[in-house]
Amino acid sequence: MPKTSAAPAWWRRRGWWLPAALLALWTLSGVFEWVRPLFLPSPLKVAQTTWARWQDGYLGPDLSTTLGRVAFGFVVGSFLGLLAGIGLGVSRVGERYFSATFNAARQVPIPGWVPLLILWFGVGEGSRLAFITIGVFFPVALNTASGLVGVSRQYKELGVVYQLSAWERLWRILLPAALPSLKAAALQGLTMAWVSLVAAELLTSMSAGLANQINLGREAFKMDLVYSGVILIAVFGALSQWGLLKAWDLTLGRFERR
Amino acid sequence: MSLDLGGIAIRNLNKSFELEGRTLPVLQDINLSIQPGEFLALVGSSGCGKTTLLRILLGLEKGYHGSVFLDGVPIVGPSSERGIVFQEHRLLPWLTVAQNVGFGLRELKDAQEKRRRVGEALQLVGLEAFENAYPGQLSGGMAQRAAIARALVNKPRVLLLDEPLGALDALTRLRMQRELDVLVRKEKVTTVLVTHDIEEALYLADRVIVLSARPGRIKRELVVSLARPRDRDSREFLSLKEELLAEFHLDEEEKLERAL
Repeated sequence: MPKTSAAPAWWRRRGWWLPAALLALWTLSGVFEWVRPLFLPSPLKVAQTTWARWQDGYLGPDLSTTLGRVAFGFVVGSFLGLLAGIGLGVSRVGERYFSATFNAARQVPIPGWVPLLILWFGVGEGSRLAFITIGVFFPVALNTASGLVGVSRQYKELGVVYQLSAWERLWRILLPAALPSLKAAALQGLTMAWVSLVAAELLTSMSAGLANQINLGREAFKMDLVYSGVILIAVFGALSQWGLLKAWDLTLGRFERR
Repeated sequence: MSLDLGGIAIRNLNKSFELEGRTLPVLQDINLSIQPGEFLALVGSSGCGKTTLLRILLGLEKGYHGSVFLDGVPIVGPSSERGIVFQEHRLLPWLTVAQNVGFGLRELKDAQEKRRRVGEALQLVGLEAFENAYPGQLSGGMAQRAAIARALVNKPRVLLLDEPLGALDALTRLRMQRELDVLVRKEKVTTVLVTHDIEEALYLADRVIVLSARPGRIKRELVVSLARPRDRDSREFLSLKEELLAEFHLDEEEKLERAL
């Protein structure tokens, strides 16, 4: 596909205008002290804090811990969610037996799982990973199931006419046909991975992690630390989504023709 | 396909649907023999059960009374002996035209043989230049030709056509009717066409069966012995068309009377 636009670079990058303007406004407010620096430290100060934490060797472990948790929860939760979604979306038996249980369980807000998880997995890393996995699991399972149920009868009939086995029907017709829903499932799963990560790090006791950095900053009333953590989560969250979409397009994009 | 295979026998076929506890007869006392290599058209107004009859021949529709045989063997489910073209092309949008046509050949493991057969089928419908195109890039007529290639790639004994040209524009439709006429002659495959277009039926079929509506019963049987390609403006063609149209009008009047 050729690039369609011969528009100038500044126009093509219009998505960056708003963040740039906000940054400029924030800088100005720091210079003129519109807000007390205690509540809103200047961007420079936040950058300095971030850099200092990196140099002191705090940020690296925080970052890798957080990214590792997100990756684990996303991969495991997506995999389990995909399996459950297939079970609910493909077989009427699965739907009959499990949809009530599934729908009840997904009504429990994720923080509601915390006490149970701590009971099962202890107060450590296990609970946090399980927590994120659960957060990813439900939206992925739900989107997968609804995507598979929504595959048009015309395509499903093709599987009967050509006498495909159940496995072939899934692999050659249902999953490719449901791909747009699977993509939505993956994106929602990723979002939920970040949401649950922050909740997990804030709700469970002290450990490394970006959200934990936010917590530390709050307790010590160091707003630069809080802002640094929030911005890092936003940046890495956006990066992970961008990476997911790129990887998706490279591997599965060709199946998305309609 | 040799001319002695592809014979269909339908005996005392009755089919009804259950709707909100009521039994709705769809097909009643259908007895019909189709000769190997014959082109049969089923016409009737919508709701006359002609598509249901075709789906029974395909093996998709279960739960009927009576029996249906292909070359003396009961039809119990879909099989590669029977190819189908639906009103919608039903090509898988993420596969190329060649891959879609090859979908009908999945039992064939020999890749080279598979390629050869797909190429042959594409040539038959004049799509050899589009083997790597995707369905979304094809016009309606081309997509339907690819669907015909997919149905024929297995060298089936029977070709089932469920209003295959119904969704095409008038001009494409006329051209496709000509192509289908030539193609089916060449393949010598038994063909059952469901259509609500009387002219299409008369142009293509050796025999036209008119089904009455609700329940579907064989109301009229008309052998068309005009030479091919048929001239739609010839006197004989027009008089046959008139005859069939009269059947339809009768049907409409009966329905009206019953309603009043």
